[in-house]
Amino acid sequence: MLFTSLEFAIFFPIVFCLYWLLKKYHKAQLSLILLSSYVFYGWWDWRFLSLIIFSSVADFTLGILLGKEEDPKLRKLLVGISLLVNLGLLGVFKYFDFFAESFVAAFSWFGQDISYSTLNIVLPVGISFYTFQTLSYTLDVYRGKLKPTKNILAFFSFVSFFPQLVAGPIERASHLLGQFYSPRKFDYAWAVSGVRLFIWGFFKKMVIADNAASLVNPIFENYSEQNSIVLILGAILFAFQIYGDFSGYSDMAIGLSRILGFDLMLNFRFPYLAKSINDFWKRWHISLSSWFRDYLYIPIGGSYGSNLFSFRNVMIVFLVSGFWHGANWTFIVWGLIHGLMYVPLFLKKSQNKSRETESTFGLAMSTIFTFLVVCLAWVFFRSESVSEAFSYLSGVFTNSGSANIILASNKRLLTLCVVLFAAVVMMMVEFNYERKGKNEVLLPSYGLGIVVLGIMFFGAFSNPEDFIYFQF
Amino acid sequence: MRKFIQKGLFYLIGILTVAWVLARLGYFVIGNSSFYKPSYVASGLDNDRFDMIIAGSSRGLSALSAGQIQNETGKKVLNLCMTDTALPTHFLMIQHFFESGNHADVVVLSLDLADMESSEVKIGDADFKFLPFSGEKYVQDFYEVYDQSELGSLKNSGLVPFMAFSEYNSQLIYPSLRGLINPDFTYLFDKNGDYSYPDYLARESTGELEDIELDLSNPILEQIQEYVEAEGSRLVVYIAPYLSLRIDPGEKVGLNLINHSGLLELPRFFADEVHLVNSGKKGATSAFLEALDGVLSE
Repeated sequence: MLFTSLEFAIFFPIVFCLYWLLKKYHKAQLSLILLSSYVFYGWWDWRFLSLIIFSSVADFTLGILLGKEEDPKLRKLLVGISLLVNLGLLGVFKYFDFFAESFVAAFSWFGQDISYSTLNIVLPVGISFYTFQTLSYTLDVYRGKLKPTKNILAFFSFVSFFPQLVAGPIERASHLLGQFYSPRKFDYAWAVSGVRLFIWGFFKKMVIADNAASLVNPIFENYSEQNSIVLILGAILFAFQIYGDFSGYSDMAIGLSRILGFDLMLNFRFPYLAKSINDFWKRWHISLSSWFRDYLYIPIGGSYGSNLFSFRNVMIVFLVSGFWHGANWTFIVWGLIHGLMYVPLFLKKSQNKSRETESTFGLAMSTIFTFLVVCLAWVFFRSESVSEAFSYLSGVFTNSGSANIILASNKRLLTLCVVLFAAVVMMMVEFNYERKGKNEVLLPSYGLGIVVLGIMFFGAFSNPEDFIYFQF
Repeated sequence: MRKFIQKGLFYLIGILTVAWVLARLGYFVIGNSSFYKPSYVASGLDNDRFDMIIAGSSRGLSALSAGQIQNETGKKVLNLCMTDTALPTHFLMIQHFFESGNHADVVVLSLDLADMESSEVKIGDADFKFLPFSGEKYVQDFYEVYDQSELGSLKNSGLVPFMAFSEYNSQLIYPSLRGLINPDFTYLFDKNGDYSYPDYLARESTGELEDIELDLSNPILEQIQEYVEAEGSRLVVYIAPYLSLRIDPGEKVGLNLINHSGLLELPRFFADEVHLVNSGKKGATSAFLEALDGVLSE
């Protein structure tokens, strides 16, 4: 079920009414959350519910065992089982075919042709999100940062909470699980902020992302026929598409949670206003980058050591992060580019240069440069293969095609105008909120009215796209 | 909680009202402009009596020139063909022409291969162009039958007019704005309703010629004939040239038919398998005129 679908427009008001009618019956309210979460997820494919239930049972049990066990070896074994279960699910459902194909390709390179078969398994929606969420629970219990829960209803609801189940934010048990323990009271201001955030996210998804998709898809599918300007435009439009799509989903998820009385963590903080790649990753997919920071970067040594040692750790994190996104070399190269962009940062660090001394012009240039580097990396992220991405980028310099894909179609020209106008509006709003020191866009009523009319009249309702991050 | 729901409903009703008014205004402007052909037919024509009208899809548009027929015969001719349309929409266009107070002595229906035996019951890509006239019974009846979508944005356009804006946004918003500034602007057609594919799009090669036998058994054809005769006009069914296809429609009693499916064989007359470039259009129109006298005198 998509947040932008008719089914969800019927589903959520029903859940909302029942949920607050049951506010005095905490267990019934939790049961409703769990049931509605399973309905929400099962709408795609009910068979994959078994994976969520399996993951929930495994980590709930392992959490309790970890709480009782004091022997360090056995504790290591238990957390190892949790890693095996969760990463195993990912391995089978997400990476098996990739490894099989890469293995065969490697042998073919040495002149050995071997036969193989892929499993051709359908990727369960959101598997990378909920496995990481449950994994964080057992890791925190193992480290003694969290007490294991005995409330099975709360834990299952935490794992499958429908607003953030399929595309995050990837919540930590230390932040979200506790919210399921106690009854919730309806807070008017909190719910209103949820509505405001939901509408802003809806705008980013329907007006920017899905309209941009109708331009980006033909450009990337026929990149060899495009001239430089169209190829550059394609990369920039994809940057706005993926941002509108993913941050739009996060805003909607956070907004819906607030309407139900929950507080989810911030996932995006105006990333295209970042002044360096380091800054970008403090603003983009914060729940994943902080997950990797806490459970990978710091355990392998973090920045405690030489620049080279820290840089190695950064590269490891970005390669793993790229791989998390999908079983394709394009994602790994995407991670590699982001990792390499940390080199100037380490060099600056060793020269003790401070950003605070930079002029406004210098900061603006840094923002634009960071955005362009991010766009370059997005080309790899969006392309079907690494060689296609290189061909796309070489097309920018050879300028051999035409701009007919846009210019020959009035509909596409109009869509381009809509996307660019909406993207500029979004960036101006974000810049304004950033200047005020805010982390999220909560528009006043009149602004929301205009945004809703914008959605109604300019939203891409005729060609709605799935959320990009559902495939991860 | 009560305040939340009350305020939510208040804002929701307010927004829906504003959207309703804006959408209605949009339809009013488009309906009174000449941007799309249905609007042109209703409010952009200089006179209401024609000797001949041509209804059909982009194939009819690329094969027959109303301007050329008018110049060569001195008759008043209007091309009503629209791209991305099928037979049900052609029928709607013919109805719209007559119901808007116009008259034509001869109605030429350019028929495509896909519509010869039956037509799909689904809304076409250009059917939204009749939205400003959705209050008319014939348009509403059409939307009721063909709009099978989940939301039914066309068939429900009377009650919730903004829903179609959500679905066709730029295709309705741009004409609304353009219609405000210049109501006489016509989108991809001239005053005769003509549009041509330029010669530089001509093909260089052709495929293997194929012969197809088909019955003209689509029941909509009979409905169109009955309707046209009731309006005191004559219907001529025309099959425009295909690049590598010859259609044998067999015997169809009661239909005046001009079958030019295999008329042109050189690829330089075609932009693609089914559309003619300008030079092909000239040849096809001349051949059509020669055949027309024979058909009408039968």
